[in-house]
Amino acid sequence: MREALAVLKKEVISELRGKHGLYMAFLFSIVAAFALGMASSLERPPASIASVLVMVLLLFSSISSLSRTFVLEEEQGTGDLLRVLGDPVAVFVGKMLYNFCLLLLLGVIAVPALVLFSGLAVSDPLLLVVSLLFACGGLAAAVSFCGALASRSRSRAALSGVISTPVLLPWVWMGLNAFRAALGDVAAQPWASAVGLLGMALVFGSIGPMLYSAVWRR
Amino acid sequence: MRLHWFFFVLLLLCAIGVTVLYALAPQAGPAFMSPRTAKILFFHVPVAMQSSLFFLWSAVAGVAYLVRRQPAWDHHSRSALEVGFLFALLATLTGMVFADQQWGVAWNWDARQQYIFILLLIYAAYFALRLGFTTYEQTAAYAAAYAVFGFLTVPFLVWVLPRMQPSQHEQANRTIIEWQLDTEYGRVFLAASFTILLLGIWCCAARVKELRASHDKEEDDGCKSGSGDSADSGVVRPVRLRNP
Repeated sequence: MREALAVLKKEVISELRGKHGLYMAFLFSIVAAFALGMASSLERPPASIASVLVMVLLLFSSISSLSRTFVLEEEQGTGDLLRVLGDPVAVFVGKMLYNFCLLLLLGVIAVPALVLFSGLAVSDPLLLVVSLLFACGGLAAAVSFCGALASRSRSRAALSGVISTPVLLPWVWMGLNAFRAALGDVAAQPWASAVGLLGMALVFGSIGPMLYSAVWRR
Repeated sequence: MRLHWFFFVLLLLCAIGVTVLYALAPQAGPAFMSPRTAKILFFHVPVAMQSSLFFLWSAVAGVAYLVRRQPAWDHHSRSALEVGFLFALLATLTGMVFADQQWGVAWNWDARQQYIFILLLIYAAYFALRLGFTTYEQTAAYAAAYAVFGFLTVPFLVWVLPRMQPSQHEQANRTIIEWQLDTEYGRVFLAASFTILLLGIWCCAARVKELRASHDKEEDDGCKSGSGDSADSGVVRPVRLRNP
């Protein structure tokens, strides 16, 4: 765990040194929230549409920024050094934690911005926060793994998008249910989807490091 | 080779049996808009269920490859995934034909329709992943990891998510799970399921054979051109020692 935290610290330091990745992700989230708000400016969207807006925002924020962690190591030529010195599980967990923190940060900024711009009515704020937390955890685990797989390929950037987008669809489906309930749709099951998101995050977060350790030196 | 023929004859007999049973089976009840086309269920339900079985086998073979690093496991994982993908595609298409007859629209965003389409997308990405690497070792290892990772979504997509929203499959699922089929209908369903399973296994075995032959040929070519004698390739070239 100490090694994983060291990897997390290294990621944060290198991000703060460059800042461009963080700034790009932040700007993307705000622009996307504003664009979605603008699209729904004429009429306040119902819960079913509002949940789609929240999930689309999270999905594209995660794909555009998170898979870069492993891809960047290969592009900068530091991946080999990491493979020589690091423990695969610690490296994966560290990067996954970093991705989780980044996505949560983006979510905490972008989702309230979307609520503000679109005039959404949040009927269950606790469910919204918990769903956001679990959705970010699951998305971070899945995108980290897909980014790790694509990072060693010939066409990293394209492949990470191609393989992570379909894998994230189950989260989109589950997240839609959870956010729909949080935004006032009485037909949706309120907590079952949030628990489902947690279950998926735990399964993918625990199997991902093991699979990564089996392939990372290949 | 003998086993191959035995399998083929068995499959042929099963296919004849299913055709006869299919022709003799009574038409479905008045609950169906078109009772004749309801017989598509003898094909649609088995391929949908068995696609998950082949995805499971692909994941198991993927784990075996990651542990043992033997190309045979990669061939099994890849071929099972291809057959599972084909079955899922057939289930989607036959489901659309049935939905068009029954509900007047081929795609109605039913929970099961969504899950199987998501599965198709997830496993379609597997083929893209296989094209992205330069060496066989890397391709096989990363593809095996993805096959395992992709299968983790199956329990959620098959069992959890469809139960969280209303589905037009609920009644049909209950009928099969609680085995409320008529005796004759049940017999045809079981015979069709068994035949389709045999067909899937046969396709899988034939594909494994083809992949093995192609892999062996590539290794031979690599050996002849002098580039396949690395420690990783597993090919040992004869070395001539000089007489002292």
